[in-house]
Amino acid sequence: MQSNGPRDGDGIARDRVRLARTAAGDEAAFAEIVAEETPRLLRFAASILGSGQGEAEELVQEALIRLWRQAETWQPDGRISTWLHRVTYRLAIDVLRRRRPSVDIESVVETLEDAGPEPEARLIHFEDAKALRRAIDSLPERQRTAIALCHFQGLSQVEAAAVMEVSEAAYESLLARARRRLRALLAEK
Amino acid sequence: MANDRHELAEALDRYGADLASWPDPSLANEARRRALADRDFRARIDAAASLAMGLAAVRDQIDAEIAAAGAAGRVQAAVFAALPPHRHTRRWALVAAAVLVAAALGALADVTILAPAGSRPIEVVILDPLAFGPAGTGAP
Repeated sequence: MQSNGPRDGDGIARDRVRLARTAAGDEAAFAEIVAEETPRLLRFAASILGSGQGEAEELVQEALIRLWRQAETWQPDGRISTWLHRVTYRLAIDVLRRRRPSVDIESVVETLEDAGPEPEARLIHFEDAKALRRAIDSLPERQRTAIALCHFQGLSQVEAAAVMEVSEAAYESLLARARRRLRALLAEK
Repeated sequence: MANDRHELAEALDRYGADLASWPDPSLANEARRRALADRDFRARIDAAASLAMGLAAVRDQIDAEIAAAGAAGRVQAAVFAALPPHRHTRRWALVAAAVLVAAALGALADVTILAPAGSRPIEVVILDPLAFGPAGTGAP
């Protein structure tokens, strides 16, 4: 298993020790990882899937079990967290595809957004977080993920790009489009 | 100003309202200068900051829902209930099984093959070392 994430010397070294203990069957070491990562991964899965918390729980459970299975072959060149986010993301994409197997309009939507005018710059008050949440749910999946990784998960752009398996420039572009789109959606209300 | 408004607006959308976190300090300084001189750009920065605050509120809302549902505890319990054994653990289990099988075969052989031999008398001769000297080397 190769993590392919961004480099973070101390964190990677700490992760390597914990994974080595996990690979040796130390459930306490694995429990530390599970306790640390589960709430964040649940938030991430829930924000991508939009609804269906049961599905989010299944995804996170599957990602953690995959980590346990692959602990023995862990290649310490990235963080456990980044790897878990990436696995969770892939599983979430599978769920979204099962939900809407024939819909592939995301690229069209993104193209239209890029061609359109800049949304008007105006101060938006978000007293109603639900309205913003609805706006997030209406974003194309990749833009929603870019927002979640940055604003909900607190990942750096390097880490977020690694999770989405795109270049940093591509991630920044996605994030910029998502922010513009959100402002435009909220300005319409 | 070296950078036009469009470029700074694009950078604002890419890197967010916290100018101190922008990867290019010179571009961030340009944005600060632009904000002082350009009311529209300042409003754009305010809107980006407001969006970030709103997103933080959404994050807190999601966390509250997850906590209220007890989802983390459920996931942790389900993970540990479903953990498959590691290959490492399986290897030791195989070794232990092999030892047990070998012991069982040994016991079986003792009962079925060696037991008849056990019925024959076995004479044990003990030589007194005081009478015959220490066993041994054959040296004079």
